[in-house]
Formats: sequence, C-alpha cells, structure tokens
Amino acid sequence: MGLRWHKIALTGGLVAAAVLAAACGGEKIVERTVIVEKPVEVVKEKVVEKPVEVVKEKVVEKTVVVVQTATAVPTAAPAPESAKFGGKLNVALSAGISTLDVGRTTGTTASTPSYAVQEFLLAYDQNLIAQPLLVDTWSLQDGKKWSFKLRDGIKFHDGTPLTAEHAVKSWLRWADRDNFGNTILGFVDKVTPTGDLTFDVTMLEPSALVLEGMARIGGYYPVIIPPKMYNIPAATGADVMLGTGPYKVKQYLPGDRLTVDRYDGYKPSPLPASFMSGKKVAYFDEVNYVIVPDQNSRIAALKTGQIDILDSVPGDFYKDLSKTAGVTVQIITNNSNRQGAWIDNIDGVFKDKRVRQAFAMAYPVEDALRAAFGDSQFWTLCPSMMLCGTKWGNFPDGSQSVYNTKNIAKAKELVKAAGVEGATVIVLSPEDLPVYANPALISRKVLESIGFKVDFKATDWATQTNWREKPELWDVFHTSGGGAWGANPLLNSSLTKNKYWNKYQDESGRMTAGMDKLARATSAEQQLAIVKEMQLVFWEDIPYVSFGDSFNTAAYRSDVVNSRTAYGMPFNVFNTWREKK
Amino acid sequence: MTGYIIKRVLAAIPILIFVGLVTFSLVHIAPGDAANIMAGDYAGPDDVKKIRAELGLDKPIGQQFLEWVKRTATGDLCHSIFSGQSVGKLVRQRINPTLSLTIGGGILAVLIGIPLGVVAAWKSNTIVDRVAQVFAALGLAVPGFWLGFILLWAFAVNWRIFPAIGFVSMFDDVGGFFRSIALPCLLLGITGSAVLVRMTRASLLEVFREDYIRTARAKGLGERAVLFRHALRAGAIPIITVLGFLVAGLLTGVVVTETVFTIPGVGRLVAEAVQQRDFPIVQSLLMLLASIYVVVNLLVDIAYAYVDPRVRL
Repeated sequence: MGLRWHKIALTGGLVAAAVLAAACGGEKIVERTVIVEKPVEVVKEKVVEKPVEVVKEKVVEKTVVVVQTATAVPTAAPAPESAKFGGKLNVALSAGISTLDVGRTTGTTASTPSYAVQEFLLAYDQNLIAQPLLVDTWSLQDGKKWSFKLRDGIKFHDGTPLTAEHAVKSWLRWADRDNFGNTILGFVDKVTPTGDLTFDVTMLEPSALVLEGMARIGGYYPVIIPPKMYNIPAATGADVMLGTGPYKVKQYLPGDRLTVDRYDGYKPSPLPASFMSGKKVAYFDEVNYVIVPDQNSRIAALKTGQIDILDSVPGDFYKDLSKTAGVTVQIITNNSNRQGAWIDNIDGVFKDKRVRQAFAMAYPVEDALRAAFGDSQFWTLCPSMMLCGTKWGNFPDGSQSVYNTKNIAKAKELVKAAGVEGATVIVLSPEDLPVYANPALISRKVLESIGFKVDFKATDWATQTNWREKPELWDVFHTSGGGAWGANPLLNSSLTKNKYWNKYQDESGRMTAGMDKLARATSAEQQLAIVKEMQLVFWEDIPYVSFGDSFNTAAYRSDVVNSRTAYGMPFNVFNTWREKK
Repeated sequence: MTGYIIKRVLAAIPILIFVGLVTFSLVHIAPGDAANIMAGDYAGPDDVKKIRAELGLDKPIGQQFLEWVKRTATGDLCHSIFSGQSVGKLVRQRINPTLSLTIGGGILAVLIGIPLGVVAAWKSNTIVDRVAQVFAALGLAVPGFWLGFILLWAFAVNWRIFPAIGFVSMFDDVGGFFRSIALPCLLLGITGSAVLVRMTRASLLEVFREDYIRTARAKGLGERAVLFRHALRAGAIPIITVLGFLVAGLLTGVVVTETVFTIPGVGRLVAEAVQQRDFPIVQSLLMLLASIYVVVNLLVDIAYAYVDPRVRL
C-alpha cells in the first residue's frame, strides 16, 4: 500500500506533463522521462548555443531547457567530487532576518537560511511530488491510517537524536500554526508515536493531504526541530535555528548576517537530488546570508564579488548586469508570481459580481505587466487560475470571455446594469514599490473608462497593509503570489471564502465545494478535473483580477555552480559549489 | 560654573519627557505595525489578528503608553519584537561601527571644513574662496545617499580600491578596518564639512572687520599672528555651535551612510526598526539619540561658557 499513493502521484505527474506538453505546443520537449517504480532524478538539461545575452531557464514539468549564451559562463564540466569542497558563499538578503523561527513567520528572510539548515519529513521533487526526506518509508492501511518510519541515525544540530516524538511534536506545532495545517487537522483523528522511529497519522476520513502537509512550501514551513525549539510556542518564537540539514547555524548577528557552516553529522537521503528532495551535500565550508537592504549596494557588492548570489534583479539593472564579466543573470521561468489587482469583495461596488467581471474584461493585462516589469521577457500572459508552468496551470477554461478581452463596451453595460455607474472607487498605490504602483495607474485608467470616478491614494506599502484591514478604506490594491500559493488552490487564501484581504465570498458555494472535493481526491485525474471546475468558478466570480505571471530574475557570480531556485523557494546552497580555476 | 551646569542638566529633563511623548505618538500614528510585517505577505486577516494579539499590539494605546513609560522609567529599554533581544544588547552589538564612522567622519569634517573655511575667509573674493564656497554649497545641496552611491561606484566598483559593503572591526584587522570605513567616513566628512566651511568663513569675515583686528595689523603683527592669535579665538564661538550640530548631523547621517555602505551599525538598526515597525526598538533608539543630542547641546553650552565668560552671567 505504501507505494500506492506514490504511483498515483507519479502517474499524475506524467498526465500533467502530457497536458502541459499539449498546451505548450511551441515548447520543444527535448527529453522523455520513463517512470519507474522508485523516485528517480527527472530533471534533464539540454544546452543550446544561441547568440543571446542571458541565460534563460524554462522548466516544463519533466524537462528543463536551458538556452545558453555565447557570452555566459557555461555549466562546469563534471569536477571530481573532492574538488568541489571548500570556500565560502555569500548570499544577499534584502531585509533583516525577522526571526530565527520559521514557525513564527511566513517571511522569506527567515525561510531562506532555514532552507539550508532545516528539513521536512517529506520534500517536493522537481515535479512537486512529495518524496521521503527525513521519513524512510510510509504505508497506508484501510485508507485511513498512515504509518511513517523515520530514517535511522539522524541527529539534530544540538546533538539530539531525531525520534518519532520530535517529528510528531514539530509537525503538530506547524499544523496548529498554518492555515493549510488547520485544514489537514480537520481530517485527522490523532497523530501518535508508535516507536522510537515510527508514528501513525489516523484520519477521520480518507485524504492524501497529510503527505502534502508534510512537504508544504509557501506559508509556514513544516520543519522538524528539536525540543529546544518546539517546546517554545510558535507565537513566541525560538531564538535559535536548529535542524537536521546539511548546514548548521554558526553565528547570527542581527541586522548584519547569519553564518552557517557544514554540519559534519549530516545524514543525507539516499535518493537522488531533485529540487528539495534527495541527497544534499554541503560543499561550502561556510555560507553567509548577508543583509544588504539597498539594491544599489547589492548590485555593487555582486559586481565586486563580495556577494555571490542575489535573488532579485531589478529590471533597470538587468542589461547592465548581463554585460558584467563574471556575473550570470537569469530569468527564472519556473519561479513566477501571479500578478493582479485584488478587489474588495465585501464592501463597495465590487460586492456585485457583475462589476468584478466588468473590471476584469476591460483590463488590458499586458499593459499592467509591462508597466510593472518592462520587456515581455520578464512576464507572460496566463489565462489559468493557477500559475502557468505548474501542473494545474495550463488550461484557459472559462477565461475566454473575461481575460484580456479589453471589452470596454460590455464592461460598461455590466456596470450600468449593476447601477453603480459614476460611483467612486478607491485605488491604493504603494509608491515605494513600483511593481505595484505602476499597475495601479493602469487600474485607474480602466476604472475611469468603464464609468467610475477614482480616488487614487498614493501611499507606501506599510500603510497599504494597514489600510487593507479596513474594507471602507480601499477597493483595489495590487499584489502578487507565487510558489505553492500559486500552484495549489488549497494553499491559495485568496480563493478561500473570507480568508484573504479580498474577502472572497463564494456566493454560489461552488469554490468551497471544489476545495472540499480536492482535499478528498485521491487520483491525479480526479484532482485535475476538480481544478478545472474550480477555474470556471474563478473566471465567473473574479475573486481578484488576474494579470498574468512575472518571472523572478536572479544574478550570481559565474563561478558558482548548480545553485538553483524554483517554485518560490530560495536559492539552494547545498549541492552547489564554486568552480575552481 | 557648577550651578550653571546643574541648571542646564535640569532643563534637559522636560526636553527628554517631551521627546518621549512625541516619539511614542509618532511611532503609533505611523500606519502599519509589526504584526503585518511579521505575518508575511501570504498571511490573511486572521493570521495578522492572531499575531497582533500575541504581541500585545491590540491593547488600547493608552495602556501601551503606560507600559512603555513604566519600562523606560525602570531602565528596561524593551526587547525587539522580532529578534527578542534587548535594545541594550542590540546597541552594544552595533555601537562599534557607528562610533567608528561618527568619530572618523567628524574628524574628517573638521579637518576639511575648518581649514577650508579659514582659507576662504583669509583669501576672500579670490578663486580659492570661490572654490571653497562651491564645495560648501554642493556639500549641503547634494543628497547624502546620492553622493554615497557615486563614491561606491567610483571607488568600490570601478577602481576596486575599497570594499562595497561591510565593516571590519579594528580588533580583527586594522588594515581592513580602515578600508571598510574609508568611503563612509569620506561621505560623512564631505557632507559634515560643508556647513563648517560656511560657518567658519562667515564668522572669521566678521571678526576681520573688528577694530581690534585692525589695531593688531596696525601695530605691525603679521597676518599669521593676526589670524591664529586673535581672529580664530574670537571666531570660535559660532564654530563650536556648528560642531554641536555636526555631531547631531553625523548621528542622523549614519542612518543613510550605514544603509548605503551596508554597515551594521546603530543607524541601520534605526532604519530597519522603522521599516519593520519594531516599536520598542524605534522608541528606545529615538530616546537614546535624543539623549545624546541633549548631552551634546549641554556640552556645547558648557564650552560656550568656558570660551565666553559672559554666557555664565
């Protein structure tokens, strides 16, 4: 039984890949993957010489196409394993680390070093399929009782051996904190250690969500931590970062840096490395997460070699950096963010579904994306509810009459029919974040063109976060979401009734029913069909106006090999080394 | 003199109470709070509400103020909402870079500003004077962060003479220390010296017009003697005032300087605390900076009284 879910999931991945391949007719699928019984490394690369300036990476389910430039430094030839070890890596963080406890925040400054230091029970592979990490094996009995066995001989960085009790307490600490965890706990009867290394999760009714919950990315991280951490409530937050990962925290200087060094007691997974799962090797002696708040300073430090990796390159610097010797710049298309205009569903004109539809169908979404990100290489239109490029993000069902139709006449009719013509709409514009402030100008123009007066409030992001708590203070604000949030409806709070700031109401109840069905679905085919139904509701209800997907950009020193990022996760600093010259 | 000092110290107390009130009010009037920042972008209303309650930020403002006054009065300078560390510990961790920059920048400002101001006054209406005035005008007009980036790109990125980011402690590596503070100190020195040039020049030009200077020249004293023995001493009082402002300016200037050059000092602690709405830290640091400001002004007043006995009357 243990492999049943596994097989289903892998089959699902294959189906999704086929759907994706069909949807992306223009993509060249350069490798085929044969699914075997055990999880295998499925990422394959094809390097094509092309006279362009940047390295562009496109992940299409089981295929990675890398367009390599003549000027960029190519991936290093296989180096002997021993030659990869040593040296230091400096990673730039754009803001101070808010807390060392990822149970306390969903912010990325804490989760970035956590990615190197802490591990999950299960971890997603390149295809977002949960694979064992700290868990060795699992099985399902009677469709309701999941039994897990941990790998033997694993120790936390403070010397405490990993036991089932630690795993259970850590996971429950996470589940209690996280929205998705709360949902899963609704299906769970009890979680009990049954031995030193074994524990059971007994469900009230069949659901595969427990596996997703152990590998959850986005939101709070379900990291497995020792008593020194989990005995402190997540709300208070532990003042240490301990885990079982390949690096351990060496020194933390608040506001300056966090340094991790190799954990000699690390016991890697026997599976091949794939995204977050499989074998991890700490090649660097030391990794410094250096806090460099100013973007000009980050760029300068990258150019001088004081920083090796920075994970977000402003468009203004892209061309300049791509011409800089020793620096590689990437547009990462498998790490995108859904951009959009979030609208107040419970107060003001957008309470009426017809007005939300009118706003969406009048919207020239490519104008908003261009205003925010510039050249079209940094974004893509996407008529899907979920992020394009993810397994449920490659079908346009339901979008045809609403998405990017720029149908002003029809939109005006709907506004008139709703009886709100001439009403005032408040648009928030955080001037400190041009990626949101610039689309706000487009929103203003669209709203005026369909018959509204616009009260345009130029403010800053911190103010906006405060104002959006009060529905009477706003009607439209702009933001984005990526990673698992954009890949799985169950993890997307904007689609859940009353959960996010848009306060989506789901008047028909169909979205909530879809969520419920999706949580109980046990096959990839079922899941896909349910998500397709949910997408029809999405384009009918318009919980928010979806523009499309922006790609993350990154820059790193060209001698840093194999550092990658995907699905909204930080750059990996494990399985990464510096090419020696 | 002792009575004068006691009087000035007592006068500083209401100022600090006023600063405390204003600081608390400003911090709480500013929109946004730590709960939103702590929760992260994916958090919804329920998450934020939960965190706000956990942090005690949902209590009535009056209650929060009383708690803060009580803590401050008992010497408990609060803990960071984020790191959980006390403000005292955070300041101790970061005081070394800030002191290094303030002292280095101050020395550089004095070394550039006063001689240039003296020369400008001495050679007034010559090309030297014009150059000094242009320097002073630019130093005052050009924003510190812009000049900082120019220095960064020129000396760190293009010529690779100094590092672009970071601070090296003097106790770890003396050479590295001087290299790491060179550009920030230069920035603080240039911006700080501008006002010194103008003040020194103006003050000396006024003194040069005094009768006793004319008398000194008439009795045959050389220009050097006139300048150093008579004019400079008399012109020093306004310069001392400006030096007081300079220290205050350096303290506020380090916020920008430390951010541009990624120096982990108290200035960046202030900037980060404001960005993160880490209220206890913002309040405590502003009180600390205000206290330093008050003490510096007190020292300036005492220096006044020392240089010009009429002040004590």
